[in-house]
Parts: sequence; C-alpha cells; structure tokens
Amino acid sequence: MAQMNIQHIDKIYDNKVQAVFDFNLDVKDGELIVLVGPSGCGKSTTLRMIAGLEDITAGQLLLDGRDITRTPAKDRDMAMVFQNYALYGHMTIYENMAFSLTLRKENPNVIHKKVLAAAEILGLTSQLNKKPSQLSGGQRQRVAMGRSIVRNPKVFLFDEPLSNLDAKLRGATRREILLLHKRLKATMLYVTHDQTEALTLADRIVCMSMGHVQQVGTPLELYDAFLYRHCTGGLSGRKGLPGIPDGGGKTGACPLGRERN
Amino acid sequence: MNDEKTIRLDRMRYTKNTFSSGFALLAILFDVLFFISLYESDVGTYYYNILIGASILYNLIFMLAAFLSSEGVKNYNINYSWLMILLGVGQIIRIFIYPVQAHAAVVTVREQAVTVMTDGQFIRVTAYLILSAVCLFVGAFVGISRSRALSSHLSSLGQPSA
Repeated sequence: MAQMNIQHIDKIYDNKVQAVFDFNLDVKDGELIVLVGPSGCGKSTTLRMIAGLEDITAGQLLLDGRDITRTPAKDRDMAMVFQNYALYGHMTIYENMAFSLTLRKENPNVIHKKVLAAAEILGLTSQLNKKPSQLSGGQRQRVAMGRSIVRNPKVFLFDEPLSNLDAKLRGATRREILLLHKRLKATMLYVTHDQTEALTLADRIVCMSMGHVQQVGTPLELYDAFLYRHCTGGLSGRKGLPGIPDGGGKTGACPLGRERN
Repeated sequence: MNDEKTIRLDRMRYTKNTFSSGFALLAILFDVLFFISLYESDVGTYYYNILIGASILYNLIFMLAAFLSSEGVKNYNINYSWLMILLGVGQIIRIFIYPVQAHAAVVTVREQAVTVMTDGQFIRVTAYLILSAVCLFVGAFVGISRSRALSSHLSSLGQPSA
C-alpha cells in the first residue's frame, strides 16, 4: 500500500527564490498522477522534493501515514526514473538493474530472480549482457524502469522519461509505462510538459504554472472544464488548433475542450 | 527456477568469473616480486649472460599471457584456464633455472668466494614463484569447473556453450 499526502509544501532556495508555492495533494494507493506544465513551473522541483533529492522548505510529506519530510532519499522506499536514464556505462544491463540490490547486500540468488522477472516484464532478457551504449534510447529507458522495478518500491517517480526519445519511440514507451502501471498497480508520480502524455497516462492531472497548482482533476475533468488560462495554455497549442486568445477572458477555445462563452 | 543450485548456475550467464580473474592477476604480482627480488644482490657478473635477456623476455610474455588469461577466464573461456595451468607449470620449472642454480653457484668477488644467492633470498624468490604457480592453478581449476558447469547449464537450456 502506498498512499501519499503532500501537505502544503514550499520550496525556497538559498537565494530567496521560491520555486513551489503551497503544493497540496493526496495521492491514493495505485494512482498515477501526472504533473504537467511549462518549463520552469516547479513540477520537477516538486518531484525531487518528494524523492528527497531537494529539501522541503515548509510543509509535510507523508507516506502511508509516516512523516518522511526529513527522511534521506535512500530510505524513502521510492524509485526514480530520470530523463537521461542515469545508467552506469561501464556495467552491463544486468549489473545496472541489480546494482541497488547489490548495495543493499541482498542474496545474489534473490537479486538474480528479481532482475530476470523485471527483464521479462520489460522485454530485456536478451539484452542483459550488453552495455548501455549498445542499446537504443527506448531500451535504455526500459532499463532505467527495470532498475526501479527490481527494488519493489512503494512509489515510482518519473521525471520526463520520454523527453529524450523520438516521437515514435515515445508512443511505444508511453504504452509500456501504462501497461506497467496496470500490471504493478503501483503508485506513480509522473512529470511531463507533454499534454498527450498527461491525458493518456494520468488517473489525475496536476496542472502547474509558476510554482502554483492551477488545477487538479482527471483528464476528462480538465478536458471539459478548464478553469485557468495557464492550465489550458499548457495543454493547448497543438498543431493546427486554436489556443486561448491573448487577454484570456471567459471566451476561448481549448483544443482539448469545448468552446465556452 | 527455484532450485538454489540452478539459480547459481544461471547467474553465471550474467556475471563474470572474477575469482579466477583475480587469481591470475595475483600470479602476475608474485611474478613481478620474483623478478625484482632476483637481481637485488651484487654478485659480480653471474647474471650477465644471454639468460638475462631470455629471462626478461619470458617475464614479458608471461605477464601478457597471464593478463589475457585473467580476461579470458572472466568470461568462462575454458581455453584460458588451460593456459593458466601451462603458465603455472612454467613457474615451477623456473625454480630450477635461476633460484636453484644461483643458490648453488659460487663466484669470486674481490678475491673472495661468494654464494650468488643467499639462503634468505633463495627462500624468498622460490616462495614467490610457488605462490604465483599456486594462484594460477587455483584460478585455472575454478575456471575449468565453472566453465564446464555453465556450458552444461546452457546446453540444458538449449543455448550455445560459453
């Protein structure tokens, strides 16, 4: 079980710049939450605070009722998949996937079973003896996901994992992430600036802009009832379709929503 | 795949034989210690013959072969295990070339009869050669055992041998 409560967290850097303002969200067990917004909106910063890679300036982070606000990243029982894969180039795929368990001094036979199981889920069994440089971008990203899966964490965190992939590969990998979510029924937080990913993957979408949460809802709710210009501005702009006119106002057309007066 | 032994065998498909590889590298270390210990005493011109050239050449070849073997056995290549055994035999034979002969030889230095190799030096250089040979044998036998086990396991899976 992995229910997460993110309570009024702020992020203020040493130079007094505030990146995240009062982020508040309750994540249910097994839910896939997508944080979406333009570059610099604070979505990755929020994810990194949840992972423990950034300090939380104010607020609380609870995981299954346990306060993990000040818990070191390695003890939070979360696994993160990065945009640039973050694989060890000198290790084979097998060694990359086994690394975190090896560090934990787990039984080698247990590690072997877990790595093979994860490799089978992701279709990497035949690649286990290769090095990352011998794999395509999509395969490397799958290795990064496999490295997370073997740890059997409570929460999966994805930081724009498909940004480095070409369009065709992005679609295929997106489907794999969706299948993975259905299969593992794990709680996942996913950061992206791509509206297609947000609408396709999410159980709920958190729309962010300039450090603030603009809107939270299911893809359909956001599709039907956009509330903020920034939110729909982030979700609009698809080729050939009108976005919201300058000046905002109540009238506008969102390519993902109906026209409203 | 629940049997612990089967899992251990299957692990070898994806892990390296660092045990045998490490012993091959240790053998090189002991050989280097032998070589630098051999010529440390000043004993006139006993060593100044063609054998010194051959000795240097053999050491270079030995180190190259042992290093290649360490990489080969790492990937469970059985041929390099056999090479390690050959190199180990070579190390044993070398005991009877320089250490034994030098220990028995007497030269005249400043009109005094001097044993070329003292007892202490003889024990030391012989020990280095024996240790080098033992490391090669241990690494080789473990390498052969694991290579055969892995080949057998791969055959049972219907895959080509290592």
